[in-house]
Amino acid sequence: MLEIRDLVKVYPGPVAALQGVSIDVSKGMFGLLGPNGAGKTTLMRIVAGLLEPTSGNVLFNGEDIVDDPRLIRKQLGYLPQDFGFYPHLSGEAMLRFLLVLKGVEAPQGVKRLAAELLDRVNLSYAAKRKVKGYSGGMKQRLGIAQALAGDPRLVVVDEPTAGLDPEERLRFYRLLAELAEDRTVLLSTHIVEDISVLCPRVAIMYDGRFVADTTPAEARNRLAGTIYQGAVRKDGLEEIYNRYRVTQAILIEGRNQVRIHIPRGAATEGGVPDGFEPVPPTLEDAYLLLAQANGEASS
Amino acid sequence: MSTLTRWWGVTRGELRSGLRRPAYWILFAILALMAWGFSEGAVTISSGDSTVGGERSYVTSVFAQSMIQSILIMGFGAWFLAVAAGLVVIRDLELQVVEVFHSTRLTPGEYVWGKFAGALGVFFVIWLLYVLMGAGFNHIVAAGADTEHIGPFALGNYLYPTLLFGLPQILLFAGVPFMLGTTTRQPIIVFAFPLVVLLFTLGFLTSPDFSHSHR
Repeated sequence: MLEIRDLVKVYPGPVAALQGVSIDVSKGMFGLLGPNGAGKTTLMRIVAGLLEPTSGNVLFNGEDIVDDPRLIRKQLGYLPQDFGFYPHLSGEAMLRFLLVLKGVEAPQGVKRLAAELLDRVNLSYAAKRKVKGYSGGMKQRLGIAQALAGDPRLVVVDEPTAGLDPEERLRFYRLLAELAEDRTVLLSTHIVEDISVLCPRVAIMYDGRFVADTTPAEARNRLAGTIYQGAVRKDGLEEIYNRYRVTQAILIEGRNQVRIHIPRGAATEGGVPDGFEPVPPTLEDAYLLLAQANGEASS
Repeated sequence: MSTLTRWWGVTRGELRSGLRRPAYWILFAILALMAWGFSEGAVTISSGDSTVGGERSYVTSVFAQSMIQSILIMGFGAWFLAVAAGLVVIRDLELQVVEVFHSTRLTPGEYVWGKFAGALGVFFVIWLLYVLMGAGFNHIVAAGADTEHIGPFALGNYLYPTLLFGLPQILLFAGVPFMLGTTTRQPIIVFAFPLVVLLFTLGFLTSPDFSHSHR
C-alpha cells in the first residue's frame, strides 16, 4: 500500500508544483492523468525517493520514503519521463551495468537475467547492438527492462508510452498489466487512452492538486446522456464553441466532427443543436471537461 | 551486493568508456613522441643557467625525470585531465543517465567516487605506459648515436619521480576539475582551470628581466 499524505512541493521562484496532495494506492494499476505541468512528474520523483518534498509524507508498506529514500530503492522499478543510456554500450551491457547498480540478485548470473529481461521487452534481437543505434521505442523498452529488474514491489512509470509505435504500445500495455497483478504500479500520463486501457482507478491532477479520484467507468457513467456528437460546417464552429462545452473538434473531410457536453435538463429544453445525437461518453470527455472546469476556476 | 561492487561497477564503466575516447589516444601519441624525443635528444627542457649548474645531468636521472614529468603534466596533462575528469559527471547529466542511476541502490558517494576513480585510472594507465615507454626508449632502443645524455638504468630513477611528482600532480589536476565540474556543472569553469595553471606555470618558470627598462 502506497500512502501519500499532504504532499507539498514548492520550487524556488516560488512555484508550487504540489499543493497538499493525499491519496492511498493499493495493489494494482493506478493511473495519474493530467496536463503537462500539472505536477505529475514531481509527484512521481518524490514517490521514487529522488526529490524531497517541502512537506508531507509518502509511506510504502508502512515505511516512510521521505525520511529514508533508501528504503524504497530495494523495492522500486522506476522509468523516468526523460532518461538516457551510454550510447557506446550495447543494450545488454547497459542493462547488466544497471542490474549491478540495482543490486539485483541473480542466482543464474547477471548475464542470464539481462537476457531474460531483454526477451521480455522483445529486445533480444538487438541485445548486442550499441544503444546509439536504438530507436526511441527501443530505448524506451530498454528503460522498461531495467525498471522490471529485481521483482520490484512498486513500479513507477512516468509517461512511458511516449515515442512508442502502436504495436510497441500494446506490448507495453500487456507488460504493465501483467506486472500490476501482484504489485503496485503507478502510471503517469497525459495520454487518456493509456489510462482507459490499463487502469481500474485513476486520479486526475491539475495545477498541483487532485481534482478527481475515480474509476474510468465511473467517470464515464457520470456523463451518461450528456455527450452529443455531430458534424458542423467550418463557419458554424465558433457558435458551437460559444454556446457549449466542446470536448472534441476534429476536421474530417472538410467538416468538423464535434463532441459537446450538454448538462442534463438543458437538452430537454431544446438545447441540442441540429444534427447532434447522444453518444456514449469517453474518459477523454470526462478528463477534458474536468480540465476545462479547473482551468476556468484557476483563471 | 555491496558498496564496493557498485563503486567498482561505476569505476569499470568509466575506465572502459575513457579508454575509447580519442582524446586519450591523442595524448598517448603526444607522450610517445615526447618519450622518443627525449631519448633521441631531440627534445630538451631547459633547467636554468648551465653556466651555474655545471655539467648537465643525464636525462634518465631522478632530477631530469622529475622535471620532465612535472612539466609534461602541467603543459599537456592538465588540459586532457580537465576534459577527462572535469566533464565526466557533466557528460552523464547531458546523457540523462543519472535519473535512472539515482533510482537504484547506488549512493551519490559511490557514483561520484566511482566516476573519479575511473577517470583517474585511465590517466594513471596512460602515464605508467608513458614512463615504461620512456624507459624502453632510453635503455632498450637506445636511439641515436649520441647517447651520452642517457645514464645507466636504475628503477628508482623512474619510480621515485612518478610516485613523488607524476601521480600526485595527476591527482591534483584531475581532482580540481572534477570537483569544479561536479559542483558547478559548468564546462567553461572546468576549462578555465588548466588555463590558470598554464598562466601560473609561465609565471614562475620565466624570470623577466626588468633591469633594462631603467636604463
